[in-house]
Amino acid sequence: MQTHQRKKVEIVVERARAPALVEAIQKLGATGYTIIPDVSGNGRHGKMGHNEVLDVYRSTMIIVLAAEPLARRIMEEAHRLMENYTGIVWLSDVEVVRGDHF
Amino acid sequence: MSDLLQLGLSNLLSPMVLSFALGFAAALARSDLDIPEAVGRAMALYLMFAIGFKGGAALAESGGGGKVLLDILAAGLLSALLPFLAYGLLRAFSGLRAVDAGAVAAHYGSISIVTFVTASQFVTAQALGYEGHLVAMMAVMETPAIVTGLYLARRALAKEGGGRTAGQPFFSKELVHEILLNASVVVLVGAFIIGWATGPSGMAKVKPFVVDLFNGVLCLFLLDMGLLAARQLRGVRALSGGTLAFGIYMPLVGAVAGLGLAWAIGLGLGGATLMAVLGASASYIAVPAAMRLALPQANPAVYVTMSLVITFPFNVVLGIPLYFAAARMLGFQAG
Repeated sequence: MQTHQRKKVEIVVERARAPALVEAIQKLGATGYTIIPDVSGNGRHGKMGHNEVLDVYRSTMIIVLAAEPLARRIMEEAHRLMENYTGIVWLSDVEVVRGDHF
Repeated sequence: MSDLLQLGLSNLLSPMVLSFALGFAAALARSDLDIPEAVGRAMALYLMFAIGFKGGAALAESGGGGKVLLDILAAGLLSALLPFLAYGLLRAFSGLRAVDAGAVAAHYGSISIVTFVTASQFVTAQALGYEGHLVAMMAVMETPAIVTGLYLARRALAKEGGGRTAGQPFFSKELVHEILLNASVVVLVGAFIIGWATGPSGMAKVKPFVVDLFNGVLCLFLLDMGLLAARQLRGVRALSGGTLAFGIYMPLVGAVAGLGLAWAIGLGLGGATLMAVLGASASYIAVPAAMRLALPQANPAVYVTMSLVITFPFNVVLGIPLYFAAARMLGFQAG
C-alpha cells in the first residue's frame, strides 16, 4: 500500500488553554484535528487529571496531522501560546494513507 | 460562652460536617472512594438550582422592590472592594509575589456557593429564615472581585515590566464568556428567576425536589468536597506560614465586612449570618477558571490550595457557627 510522509503534532495542555490552541491550529490552515478531552499523567507541574473536579488540574490532548511546514508553524505557535501554561508539545513522523486529506 | 461552644459542637456533629470529615479522612487514608465526576457535577447543579429556586420563591413571597436592587448593588460593591484589603494584607504579611497576591485577593473577594449553601442549611436548622434575594446578592458577588484582582495583579506585572500586558485587552472575549455564562451563574440566576416568577405555586410543585432532598444531597456533595480538599493537601507544604494564616484570618475580616453590610442594609439574623459567610468565603471553581484564562502568570497551586484546603474547611467547620454567634451578639433580630 502506498503511504505519504506527514508530521504529527501532539499537544498536551491544561484545559483552560485548549480552546485558544484549537483556534490557532484552525487559523494556520490545518485541515482537521483530534482532541482527547481528558488525559492524565505526571510531570514538572505534578499530577494532572485524575478525575479532577477542578479544571485547573486537568489536561487535554490535541493531535494534528499536517505536511512538515505547516506542522512546524503549528508547533511554534503552540509553544508561544503555552507560555505560563502547563503542557508539552512534540512532533513526530507518521505515514498516512490518504495523502490528499492532510 | 458555653452557648457558643454548644453551637460549634452541634455544627461539628451535623450530618453535613461529618460527611465532609468522612470524605477528608477517606482521602487521607488513601481509600479508593471516588464520586464519579459526572455525579459530582450533577449534585453541584442540583444544589445551585435548589438554592436559586428557594431564594427566588422567597423573594416572590416577601416582595421587595427597589430596595432589593440597592442591596444587590451594595453586595457587588463589597465584592469589588474586599480584594483591595486582601491584597494589602497579603503584600504586608505573606511574602507572596504581587501577581499571586492579586490572584488570591480575587478569590477572597468572590464567594463560594457551597459554603453559602451549607450556611443556609445551618440557618434553617436554627429555625431562622433569610431574605430570598441574598441568593441574587451572592450571584452578583462572584464577578467584581475578579476585576479588582486582575487590576491589582496586572498593575504589578506592568511595573515589573514582564508579562506582556500592554497589547492585551483587559477583558478577553473568552474571559467575559467564562465569567458571565459559566454553568453555576446560569443555573443559579436562572433558577432564581424561575423561582421568583412562579412564586409559591411553583414552589408547591417542586418542593419535594428542591427542599426535601436538599440536606441529603448536600451531605454527599460535602463528602466529595472532603475528598477533593484532602487530595489537594500536598499543596499546603509549599505555602509560607504568613500565607496559610491569611487563609484563616481573611475569612474573619471578610465576615466583619459582611456583617457591616448586613447592618447597613438592615438584614435579619439569618440574612446577616449568610452575608457574613459571603464576605468570608473564597471561590475555588469560578475564580480559578477565570484566573487561568486571564492571569496565567499566577500560580494556581497557591490560590486553589488556600481557598479549597484552608478557607473552605475553616468556614464550614468553624466559621459558620462563629459568624452566626457574632451576628446574634451584635443584636441582629430573627425574622
